Amino acid sequence: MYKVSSSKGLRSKVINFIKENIKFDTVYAHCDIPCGIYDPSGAQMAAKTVLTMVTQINTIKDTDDYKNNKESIEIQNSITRRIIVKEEHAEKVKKEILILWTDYFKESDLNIVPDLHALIWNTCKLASLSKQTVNIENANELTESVSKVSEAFNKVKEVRARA
Amino acid sequence: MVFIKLLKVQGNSMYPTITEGSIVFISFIKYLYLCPKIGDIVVIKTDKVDDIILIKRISNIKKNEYYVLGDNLNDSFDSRKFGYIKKHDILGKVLFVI
Repeated sequence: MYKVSSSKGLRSKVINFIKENIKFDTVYAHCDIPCGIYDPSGAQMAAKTVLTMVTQINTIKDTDDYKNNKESIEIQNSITRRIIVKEEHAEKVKKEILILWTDYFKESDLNIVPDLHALIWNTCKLASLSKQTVNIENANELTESVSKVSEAFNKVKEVRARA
Repeated sequence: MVFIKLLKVQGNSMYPTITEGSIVFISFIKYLYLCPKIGDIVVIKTDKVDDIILIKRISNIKKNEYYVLGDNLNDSFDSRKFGYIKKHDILGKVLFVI
């Protein structure tokens, strides 16, 4: 594949003229915050990962190995790795949920899901709480809350498809 | 039949190779007689993604199925989300970009 530079000179003027004045069909280099493709599955996967990490950390904490040898570098390594993944995925939940909130849902969708704002706010708060704690209950609540966002998403999608 | 088509790129999933607003020249005949290969930048249309044409790079090939990724891995909607695609989903090859 060749790349034609449009940095300077007459050639760049011609190229810019073409780009600005001729209508082309569009091909999408689809990024995360684009033009019509949204999916709550990323947030759901991330929330499940948080729950799995919290569960694993608590399992390690209950082992005799941990109780007898808390300062072992292997134990610390195992726990740290899970904390890092938990942290990253809790952040991902927030990012994905906020993308849906700001880009997918519209004001008119409040007629379909009246408590949408509270649901999003609560989900993001739970994601933050899951970063701060290693509490299975919090992680479970996060997973459930993300599922509710997913249900809201599907409900809105269905109504839009019928319209 | 149109052999070459110009399309305007929207989105940044192919950054830094292709930036938003670039025009790409697509060959629609290349894959009639050649097989797509790893590294090719292609335009695709798959029923896994409704109604739009995507531009991605082939990153893996498995039994006539193709795994496509954006060059901007941090911000790309690609096979990591919709899985492998079929050869008939590949519409053409990007020849060059302006």
